[in-house]
Amino acid sequence: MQVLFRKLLFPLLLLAAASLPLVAVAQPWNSLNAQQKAALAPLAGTWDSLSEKRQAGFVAIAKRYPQLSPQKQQRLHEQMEKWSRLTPEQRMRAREKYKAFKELPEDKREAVKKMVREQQAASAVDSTPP
Amino acid sequence: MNTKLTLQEIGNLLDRSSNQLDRTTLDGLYSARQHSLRHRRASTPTWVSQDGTLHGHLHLSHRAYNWLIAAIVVTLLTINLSYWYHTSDRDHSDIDIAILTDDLPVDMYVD
Repeated sequence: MQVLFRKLLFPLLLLAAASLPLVAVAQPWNSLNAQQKAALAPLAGTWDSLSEKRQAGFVAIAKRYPQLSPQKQQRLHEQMEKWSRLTPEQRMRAREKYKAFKELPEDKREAVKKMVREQQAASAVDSTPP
Repeated sequence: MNTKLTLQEIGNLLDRSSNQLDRTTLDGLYSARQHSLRHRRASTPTWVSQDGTLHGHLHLSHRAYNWLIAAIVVTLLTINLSYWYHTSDRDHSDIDIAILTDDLPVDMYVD
């Protein structure tokens, strides 16, 4: 029994040690490579003030940035700064809402999009100086 | 009865007494001692000297050693689970990209 115990313990110890997560460390803007800097350009000014976890999240996004179409890359840049200012709870809630929205029938989604576009157009007119 | 014996004298008396024991008792005592030595949990603590340096050795029985390893395994697994539970936030790049590249503004999904 003791021999079996010991035989199991060492592989378990190795497994546990090997699967130890790499501790999230801060990645200064200057340490990012050119591709990451291009992907995360809107965050250049605020990058070093972001938490390590948030930086890790954006680095994961930056990894997939080159595979996006130019239009989607531009859209990502437009929204990135706003996304970085959200709290973790707000981002989690936004993901839930997004998933729920995607489950709506196509016609309802289009109706919502149309309504949002109209609101944006109206607010743009309101903010235009006379 | 008020005679005071030194430790040396007590030792000598015990030696003489043990010489008078019969073979069976001696064998029993020897066997018990060997058994005890085999199963002892000898532990020599590590000492810290005045200058703060550590010296000495920690001798653990096989059983204690196994428990120590088991405790390390449990600790590492707990750290792993806790870490991955609390950092699950970083595994959302797929949906984050979908939200950020959506034609609807991020504001729409924020309370």
